[in-house]
Amino acid sequence: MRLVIGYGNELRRDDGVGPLVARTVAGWGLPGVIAIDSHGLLPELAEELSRAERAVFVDAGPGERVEVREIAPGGRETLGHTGDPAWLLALTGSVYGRCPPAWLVTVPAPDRGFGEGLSPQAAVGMAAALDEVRRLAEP
Amino acid sequence: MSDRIVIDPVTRIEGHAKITINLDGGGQVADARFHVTEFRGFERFCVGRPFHEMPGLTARVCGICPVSHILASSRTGDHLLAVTAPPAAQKLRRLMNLGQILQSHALSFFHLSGPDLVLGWDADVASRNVFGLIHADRELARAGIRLRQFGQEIIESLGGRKIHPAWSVPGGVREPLSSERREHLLKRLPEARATTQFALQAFKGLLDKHRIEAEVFGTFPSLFLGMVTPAGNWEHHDGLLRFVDAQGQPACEDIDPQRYTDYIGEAVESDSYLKTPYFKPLGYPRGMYRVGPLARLNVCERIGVPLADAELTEYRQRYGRTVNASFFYHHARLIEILAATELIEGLLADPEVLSGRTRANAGVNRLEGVGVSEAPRGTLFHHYRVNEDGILQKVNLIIATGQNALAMNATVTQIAKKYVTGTTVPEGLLNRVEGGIRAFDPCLSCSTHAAGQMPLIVTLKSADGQVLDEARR
Repeated sequence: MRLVIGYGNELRRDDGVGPLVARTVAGWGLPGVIAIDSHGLLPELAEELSRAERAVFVDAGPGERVEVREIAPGGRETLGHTGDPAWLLALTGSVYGRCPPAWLVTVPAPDRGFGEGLSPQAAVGMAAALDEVRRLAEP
Repeated sequence: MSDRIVIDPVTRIEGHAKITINLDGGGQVADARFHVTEFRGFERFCVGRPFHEMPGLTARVCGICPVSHILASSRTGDHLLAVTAPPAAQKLRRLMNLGQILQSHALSFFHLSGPDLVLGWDADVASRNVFGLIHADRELARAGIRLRQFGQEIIESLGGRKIHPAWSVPGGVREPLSSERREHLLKRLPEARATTQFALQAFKGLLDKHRIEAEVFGTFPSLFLGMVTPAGNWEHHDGLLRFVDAQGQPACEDIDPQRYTDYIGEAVESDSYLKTPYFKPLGYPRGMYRVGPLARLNVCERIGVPLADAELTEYRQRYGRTVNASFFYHHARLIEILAATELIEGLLADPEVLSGRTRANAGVNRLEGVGVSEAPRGTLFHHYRVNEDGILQKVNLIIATGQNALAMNATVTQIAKKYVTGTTVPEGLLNRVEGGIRAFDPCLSCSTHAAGQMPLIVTLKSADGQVLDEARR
């Protein structure tokens, strides 16, 4: 099973691009792919991650273009306001004994103001991000 | 010479806060204060909005307990409409509230306080966290994650999402429960119950390690407030309010929530955005009271379900009929999780929860209403005044953590007096101060209606107000 987790706050405009990507992926109905949209990265995602052969995280990012990077477990040791993929992977490995290879796809998010909907730049980025997610999620 | 000790941030609590410990000229703790340094202002900016938006608006106060606000706000809306929600809606709201209590308590016990309880107060700070807990007891940690997940699944099954579910509204709820989701939740119940019983046994096995903390983490007399049924049983939604004193004697008659202002006043302190509710007949600050799991178990005669009542009996045999030691919030929390699993089972077995009649419709029929619900951390009040068009004219929110503010101050003072000497404070001592706060499981985002990035600071001050030391984690 390949797992796609898109996370972010959909009431902060471009910050909601992660969940939008995840729901789009879910709509593709790809065999062997589970897509989860979430407000944040919660410990409860660890169990699903432990069963995945590969994981793709999708989040709003600071750059001006879509970026893809492989991520390793690690990072801070406490549960804070916001999770991050490295922390969640580390938690997964600690609790379940394994975590999958994982990538983080970040989408340009110039507008994180209050409101719903994506800016034009984030919308373009979302389309490019979906191509990356499809590539990473393929068997 | 006097000093100021600063703890910053207070870790493993929801939100951000500051602790100031003031030493006197002899280097002894004179006073300690827990205060919140951020402000959000929901009570102000919601004025002018239609009241029916309030469940959605106030859910955004917090990402940990949005359900509590949604339910209290919906109950307020019921009063403004002058309707009774259909029986199915009432049961579904109760189901969601129980899921909320379960998941929040699981988070508190396993993720926030678990590292201290299992690893000890003097464990290396680098390992005294959730990863240290996992290393010490992987099965307990795994079970805790699954337990919280179950509570989240209840919320998602009803509201369509785990955080900020836009589902309960004035007059009822938007959607019924499907039979498929009901079956899924029923299948998950035995594991949730077993995990809770496992955690209860684990906690009881740890009690000897924490004898001193149990004595000094906020052990003092106070009033207690919680909801009860008309028969005096434990209640979490749509009940009467009961105040008892430190010996368990009623402080007044049981209160209709619509009349809470007859008994609860609110004070404001200059050094905190946390409002301080108090029991009016005793005045401020003598009218200090505690809310939340410890209080709910103190005010009720029984819970009303067998496994939890058996645990409650043992709990009272251990600590007394009315428990004044705040450390045992942890134990009370676990008993409430167990009660939640039993009550959830009863609700899921009730065929009425599948009914499609889930909403009563009406226009504005009252211009003032109060909705009260037991949030995981304690009694939550929403009080609205509207005009004839349903536009909010005044909003008052009384949050659980705010009601515990005076008690948290007293707790910090007690712990500081026990452990803090001089100006150099070892890590374990600082953690005990934090641990005392964590026993209350404060939700600071709610209580200031705020969330921000400012860390918690413990400041040690001299008698003349100079900061002599400050701890920031």
